[in-house]
Amino acid sequence: MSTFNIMGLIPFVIFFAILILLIIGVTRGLSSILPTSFIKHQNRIILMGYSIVVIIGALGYFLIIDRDSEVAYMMDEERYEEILEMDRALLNGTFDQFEELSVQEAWTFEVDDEISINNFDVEGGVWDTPIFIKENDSLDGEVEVKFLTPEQLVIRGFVVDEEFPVPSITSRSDTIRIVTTDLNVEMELLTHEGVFNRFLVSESRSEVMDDRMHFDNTSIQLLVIEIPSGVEVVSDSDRLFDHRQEAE
Amino acid sequence: MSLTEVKPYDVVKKQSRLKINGFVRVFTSLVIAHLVAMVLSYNGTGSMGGSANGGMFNYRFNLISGDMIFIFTLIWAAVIPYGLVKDEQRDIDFTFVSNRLTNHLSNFVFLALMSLFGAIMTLGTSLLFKTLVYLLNSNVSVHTSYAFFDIFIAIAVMFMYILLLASLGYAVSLMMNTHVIMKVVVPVTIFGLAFLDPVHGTFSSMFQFYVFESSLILLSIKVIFTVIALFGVILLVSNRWEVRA
Repeated sequence: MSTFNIMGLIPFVIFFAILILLIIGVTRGLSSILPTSFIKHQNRIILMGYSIVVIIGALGYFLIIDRDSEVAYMMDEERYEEILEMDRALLNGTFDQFEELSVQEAWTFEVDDEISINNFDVEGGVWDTPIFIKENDSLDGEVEVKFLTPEQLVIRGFVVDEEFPVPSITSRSDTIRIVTTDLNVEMELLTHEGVFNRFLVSESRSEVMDDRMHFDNTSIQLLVIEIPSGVEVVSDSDRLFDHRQEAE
Repeated sequence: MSLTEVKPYDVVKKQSRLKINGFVRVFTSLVIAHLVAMVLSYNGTGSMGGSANGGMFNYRFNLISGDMIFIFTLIWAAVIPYGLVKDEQRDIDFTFVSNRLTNHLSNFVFLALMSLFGAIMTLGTSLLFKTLVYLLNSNVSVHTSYAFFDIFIAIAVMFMYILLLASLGYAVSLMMNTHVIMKVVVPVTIFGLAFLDPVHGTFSSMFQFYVFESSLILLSIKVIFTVIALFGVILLVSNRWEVRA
């Protein structure tokens, strides 16, 4: 479905604004059309008009822009440590903070006595989504697959609008096939003019910001597969953690 | 001999006011330069990209800043003084009751006011540009932002750099107007020095001396002393010029 993109019009609008200004400048205020009082004071009128636009824009900067989303504010130390801890737990399979994450998507499939899980990463990549197997006696002949992620996706210290890409999960002949999908994120970052950074951002703050910009929570994503008791799980995934064995 | 005693301060004040009124188009040209800079900056003045999780996440961040606007202002500041020292302008200056000192001082006042206007408008345009990008794009985040008092520091920093470039532009323009041959000699010397900079490093060390300064006070001292030195040289050199018949 094609959507009308107003953003694409902006350069043209500004281009035409410049063109009009140039025409007015070159023709000395379109002398045949515009009143003499305008032609006489065209420079002052242009300056005054632009100054008003600039003042409104500058006020808008302080009133409209959500400056709390600034990277150093966004990633407070406590939260930063918490996510690092989650990441480590996901790597070694000791993760248990499932309630900290939200279910982004869930699937239900029928199952017999055995279930095979094939986990394929995104083409050319090396990412292998961690899978946690849990037992759920309320399920009768079914498996429930849940994709859990943090509520916000953070890439290089910035919260992006996009959500974690949901893997493609299908089931056929008691085999669950998981294929990770990729995500392309493009974002605009409002930043200081290069020359001012040294004057406005202290060295210590700059170090914190650089540190946070190496951080993201893209690895905090996992699949929880709940299966009824007595079902055997077969998989060659390195990152499949069977929590039923711990329960036993 | 005139019976009216004219104070240099009054002459400078009057001449400066006349120059501001006479050169109002200079400020309009800055507005146009800023509009062009905004269009050129719309897709970002820089970008950073990469991937995470083994290529699962590919990201590209377009950096939105007023760098281009600032650069355009610096170019504007360096070019505008040429108009102040053109032969026809010097002829106009002779119609006032003035001498070379008051003429240069009034030009300096004009350049200082022009630099202040340029600094305020550059920051204002930069904030306007960022507000527009923020409103017109859905996926925008803030890397660094201005607190209210930061704008005064930013204006002061910009004022210093613009004034430095304007003074340099004024000095170079004056040199170019001393003789027809200087219109060739001066640019060739500048380009020659720039071309051979990897060998002697004059421009690089000058650039580092001013641009890598991180203290506003030290930057102010450097710029003010440079500007005073430039005007001192200008006065010394121009006093040796022949008087106009």
